[in-house]
Amino acid sequence: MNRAEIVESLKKIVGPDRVITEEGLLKEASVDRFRKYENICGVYTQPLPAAILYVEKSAEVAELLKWASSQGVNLVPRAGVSATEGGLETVVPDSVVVDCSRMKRIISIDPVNMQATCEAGVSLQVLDDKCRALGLTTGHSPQSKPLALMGGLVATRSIGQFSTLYGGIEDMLVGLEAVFPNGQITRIKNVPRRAAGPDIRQVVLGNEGGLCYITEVTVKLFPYYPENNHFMGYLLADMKLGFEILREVMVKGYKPSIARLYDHEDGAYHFSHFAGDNCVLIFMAEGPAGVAQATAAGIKALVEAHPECQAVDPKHIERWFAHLNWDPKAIAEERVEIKETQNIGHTTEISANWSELYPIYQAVIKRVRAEVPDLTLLGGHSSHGYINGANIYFVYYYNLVNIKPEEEISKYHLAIKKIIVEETLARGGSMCHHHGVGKHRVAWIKEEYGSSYYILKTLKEAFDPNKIMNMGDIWPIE
Amino acid sequence: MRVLVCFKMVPKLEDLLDEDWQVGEGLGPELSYAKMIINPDDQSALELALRLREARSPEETYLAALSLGHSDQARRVAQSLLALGFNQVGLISRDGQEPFAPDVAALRLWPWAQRDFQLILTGARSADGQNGLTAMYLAELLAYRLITEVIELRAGAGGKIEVESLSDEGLVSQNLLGPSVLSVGNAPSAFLRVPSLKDRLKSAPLAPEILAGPQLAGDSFAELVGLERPDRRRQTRLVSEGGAEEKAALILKALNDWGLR
Ligand SMILES: Cc1cc2nc3c(=O)[nH]c(=O)nc-3n(C[C@H](O)[C@H](O)[C@H](O)COP(=O)(O)OP(=O)(O)OC[C@H]3O[C@@H](n4cnc5c(N)ncnc54)[C@H](O)[C@@H]3O)c2cc1C
Repeated sequence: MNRAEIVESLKKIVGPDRVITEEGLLKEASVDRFRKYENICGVYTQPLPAAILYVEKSAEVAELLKWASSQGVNLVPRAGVSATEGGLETVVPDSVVVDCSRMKRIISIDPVNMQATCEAGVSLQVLDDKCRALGLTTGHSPQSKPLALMGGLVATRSIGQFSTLYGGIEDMLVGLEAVFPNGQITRIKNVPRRAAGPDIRQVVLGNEGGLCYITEVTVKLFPYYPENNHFMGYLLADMKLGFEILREVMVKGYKPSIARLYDHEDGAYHFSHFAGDNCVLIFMAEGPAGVAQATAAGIKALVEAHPECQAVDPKHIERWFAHLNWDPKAIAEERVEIKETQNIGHTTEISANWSELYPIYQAVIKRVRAEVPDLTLLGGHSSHGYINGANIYFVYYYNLVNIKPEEEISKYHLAIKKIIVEETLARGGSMCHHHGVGKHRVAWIKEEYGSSYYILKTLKEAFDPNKIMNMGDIWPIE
Repeated sequence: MRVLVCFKMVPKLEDLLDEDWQVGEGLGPELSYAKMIINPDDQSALELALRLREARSPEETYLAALSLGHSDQARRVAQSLLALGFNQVGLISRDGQEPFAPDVAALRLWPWAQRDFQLILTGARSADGQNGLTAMYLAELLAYRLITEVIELRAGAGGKIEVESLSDEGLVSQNLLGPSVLSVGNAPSAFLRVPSLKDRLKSAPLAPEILAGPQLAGDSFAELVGLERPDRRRQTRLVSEGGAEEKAALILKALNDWGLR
């Protein structure tokens, strides 16, 4: 099918008003934040999609997927457009970007069964604000909360800043509706637990649009007690001790909602006004008053048993935290700043067991410093802790020196990502902690999975035999 | 040619919480938890100075930067200016109690500005002051020419420096003929660049100079005799009844009642 025929067919499925073919919008739809520099410069290197399609109903999605399967047209599902790893890049010519942002109905907020159901295009910010007004919260708070939509958050296995208490989206998701490439609409019901075979929610969670299209999600709700929050911050000289203390907090059984460790470079970026050249440990305890107090007191005693840690005024932490999320205004300001300063930042997040975290951190910092030019900031923080390990979120900024816009990725961003992935995989860690695989970590997917790649490969073959779902994402095009 | 840029550290007001804006005991918002940054107009002045040196022969342009106060954050910023290639950065000690008035600031900067600098740049307005007076006082003290609302500097032929500034009539371009103070305001596309880690490492042995501030007793342009909060109370009375004449009478009465007439 050629572009014109694709567009005509789409118009028949959803009507002409919801099929967008304006070139400027198609260009923007060919990339995500991975290629933010190309986007800022107005240089687009990916094949342009044939159209952007706004879907409004599951039945419509079913018809669309069945049609795409029969015609071999690649579909790229899209939600809040905050993807950072190329998940939205249209690498196959004449793809169709399928946008769910108009599916924005909140179906129910149920304070008895403590769950909320909404369509895939509902903004997390909107949903959580509605819940908070009722004294409830989803507990999900990624920094992209003002941007991301529920479908996208489930599709990427996202995680929020309070994960140590509430978990990642996989701990929050109760049930869902998703449409598969053969047009089958599937609903997974909302129950507290089940042992009726494998947990099939996991096939949908994190599929990044490569297996199915998410149309509805149900997430858990929790009581919201902001008045009980306790913030704590400590300065310390080195990351090794910081990781040890983070581990101690997690292993001893404390459940702060935030447990973070910043190295001195990343720390200086955020906390120059009180941290000097130190690493920074941050905790927040929340929940019912007694629980929050006891959690805070336990963590305080544990950290203060290390004389190397120096407490900071918690008001610093509270203020910093209040401004951490990114809204559209922050994205717009970043664009101007990058253009003006020709200085840009990206991140790569990995996870590993406790014993491997510090070695990975050290190896990455050493190699990136030695191998990549023009860096202006290279650091990282750990922001999600578990009983057996944690994540590291590497942050790097560089000046763009003597390059064309399209060379930014190969000269800098991918060169750094490669080092981070290599050092992580070499120590048994996972190359993706929460941003998903996208199109740029696919090169290492077989190494990430080892022998279990068989399961992953079989999922794609079974559910997407005609190769129409976000090709090149998670699964290599072979 | 010797160029001096005077910069000021200001609180990043976006970092405040709503409660910090509630004026309590002090005379303004609670700023103790705000991060300090280089005042945006001063950042532009610093960037224009760096660009000017690049456009001229770099060896012929000596760049110095000067600020009042030597907090840890000011030192960090000073260190990064050294990494960006400023030849010298001075931080003048100041008494924490001293009000940040433009005349006092100018008096403090003056002795250092006198040291054979042909060009002195400052930001036009500071994020927390907004009075735009420091450059004027400084120019007066130095008896230098002053150009305000500067948005661009260019290296012209024969070593000349062309200054572009905004005026009520429009854009003014002029060549500098003698020592001048330039007050940089709203310069487009003049974000201060970021030093690379390598530059920072290279400049690590350098350090900003901590300069003793001059004794100011009696030297200030004005003496502070008191501070008083302006009365900003508001009152409302809804006037809905009656025709135009009646309404006018009621409004007049309200003005009388409130002592506004
Ligand atoms: C400033 C910033 C901060 C961030 N902070 C965090 C953070 O704290 N934690 C975190 O986990 N992530 C974070 N991210 C990454 C990003 O926000 C998440 O990956 C988010 O889950 C993406 O949601 P979205 O609605 O924007 O989806 P999109 O960006 O539109 O899409 C993301 C992926 O999901 C697929 N997809 C979208 N909709 C559907 C659907 N209906 N069905 C099937 N597949 C679909 C897309 O094809 C794509 O592969 C951040 C990103 C930014 C830009």
